Amino acid sequence: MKELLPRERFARAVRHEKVDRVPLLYRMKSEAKEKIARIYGITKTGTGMKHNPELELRLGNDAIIYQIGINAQFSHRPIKIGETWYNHFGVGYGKSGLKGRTPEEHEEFTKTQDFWGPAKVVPENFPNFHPITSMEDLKNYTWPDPADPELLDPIRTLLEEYQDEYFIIVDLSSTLIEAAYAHVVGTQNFFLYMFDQPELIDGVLDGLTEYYTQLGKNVIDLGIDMIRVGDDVGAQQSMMISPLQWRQLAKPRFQYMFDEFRKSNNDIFIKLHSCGDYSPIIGDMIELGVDLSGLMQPTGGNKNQVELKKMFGKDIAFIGGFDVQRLLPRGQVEQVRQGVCDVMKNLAVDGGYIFSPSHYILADVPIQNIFAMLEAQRDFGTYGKYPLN
Amino acid sequence: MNTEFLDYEGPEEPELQIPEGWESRAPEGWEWQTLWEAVETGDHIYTDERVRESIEMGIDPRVILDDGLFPGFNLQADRFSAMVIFIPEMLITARAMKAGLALIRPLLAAQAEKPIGTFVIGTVLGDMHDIGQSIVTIMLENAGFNVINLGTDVHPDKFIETALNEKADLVGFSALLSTTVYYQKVTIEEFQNAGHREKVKILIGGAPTSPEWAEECGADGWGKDAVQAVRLALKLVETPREVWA
Repeated sequence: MKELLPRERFARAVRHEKVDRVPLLYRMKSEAKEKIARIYGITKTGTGMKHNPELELRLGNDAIIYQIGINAQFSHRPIKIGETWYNHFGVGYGKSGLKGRTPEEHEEFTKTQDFWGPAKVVPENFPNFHPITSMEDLKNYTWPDPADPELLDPIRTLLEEYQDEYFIIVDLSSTLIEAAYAHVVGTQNFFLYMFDQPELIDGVLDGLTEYYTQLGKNVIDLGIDMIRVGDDVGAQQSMMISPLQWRQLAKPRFQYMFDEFRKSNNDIFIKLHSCGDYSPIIGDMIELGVDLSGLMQPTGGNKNQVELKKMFGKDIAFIGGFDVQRLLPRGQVEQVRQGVCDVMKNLAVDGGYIFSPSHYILADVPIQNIFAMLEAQRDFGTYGKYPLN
Repeated sequence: MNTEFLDYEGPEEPELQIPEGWESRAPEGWEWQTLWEAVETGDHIYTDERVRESIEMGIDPRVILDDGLFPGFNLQADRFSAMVIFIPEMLITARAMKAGLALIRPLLAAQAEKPIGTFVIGTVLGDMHDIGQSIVTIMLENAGFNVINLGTDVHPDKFIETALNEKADLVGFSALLSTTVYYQKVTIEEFQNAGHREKVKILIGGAPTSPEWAEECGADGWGKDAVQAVRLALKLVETPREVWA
């Protein structure tokens, strides 16, 4: 098969059409990105809303993914010690690992983080203030502006510069249940309010649905190729909430949202993402008309990739499935190589698959493992050659 | 469509275990059924009322705990372990249990009933996740441990200092990120460096952890979920250790 343009390759794979090779989508957190970029001599390493795709395209990505959801800013933003930073939802974020520590101690602390290869781990950012914890809060709350030019303008630029060649994805994560528990309401609050104050949970989820539906329609109108809805409902061994609760709380709201997206562009590709084990709701994703499902985290409940592919693979395309929890950060080079080969065998046969680690590449991944993965994906990701012959 | 493989491969759905001979330990005409159901469904208000009523009736606090509170809690813990119920249901049951325990614990202490052991728990440095370890905490308390929960983002020094002050039998730390599991190892090494490693048994847990990692980082045990963690704690507390000075 002749070599396809990346944009065409990605779209064809999602449609389960023949492609020359398995399309790719790597994503990195800033520490990992900077580490890899140094090797390629790339200096523009922005992530989140300052995303610069140069490095990812160099590594072979067929798509460009740009984040504008509630996750876009906080997790990529440098937050100072003791600072609480508030985003456009009014959620506050601070830094972990620094309780009672001075800036000098912190400096010393980050210097000692060279482990498992040349990595430098900085503490993560975590939500520490949740704006809606009562009906009163909800009543007085103003949802952000879904036509905010700060969110939409960079997408115009991206489309002009890259869409001729690359597939453009806009990421709304986190969108619904996760946006509510992790950010707007707080995790423990969310689970307790499901029973104590269901009307509060309904109100928050309705507000999020309305905001993200409108935001999604606005970006679809700009001419993007795929909208990514990210909503973590999977834990390591099972779902966080029951599939039944998900069908009550999330499914009808996603149905409304996706119907509205398709009214803006009937051909828009929709990706629905969850971390962890979400295998009990893959059938529901198909009913919702989702085109692409990921990231197939293989270390917990949905590790049976062969069965998942057999059961659902004809009706939905998959992305991900390559272990970032243990194999990529801590495996030996040969194990990484074998891992890539296994994922290709399990998920890429007969198409409908995009190769990706099962989440961001984090700072703890040794460089040699990243290169082992890149090499293995070239070796094992070509249709017509082993193991995809 | 065949969805069998998605189902939990384990025992049948757990059933309520009614404590044998409970009638003989309760006043004439007494019933526990509604309390079992209240704990099962996470009704903390009714649980609080019924435990108060039971105390006023002069029922032995140990009996209230074993016959009144545990059956509903154990049922949900087994269901949680079997993935029949999920985090929200487990949390509200834990909350109900906590309401009952808050009333009973001072009475047990007054009867000079000693805790099984002292357990210091927390999430390692750099990590803010706490749902899992909160559930483990409540379950350990239910099992009779004196639990000191240090919260999230706990520096190794803090674990050591608390273990020393409390003469802890067990220490447990959770980590939820592949970048923070490293601090489980660091914290264990710090216990070693401080000369206290042999005085405590150390358990680890959290999504990216595994039995292999537990061995590699030098822990004494690994819990797949809260129920397993408590079983392991009950076993380890019996094993010999160096005594605190």
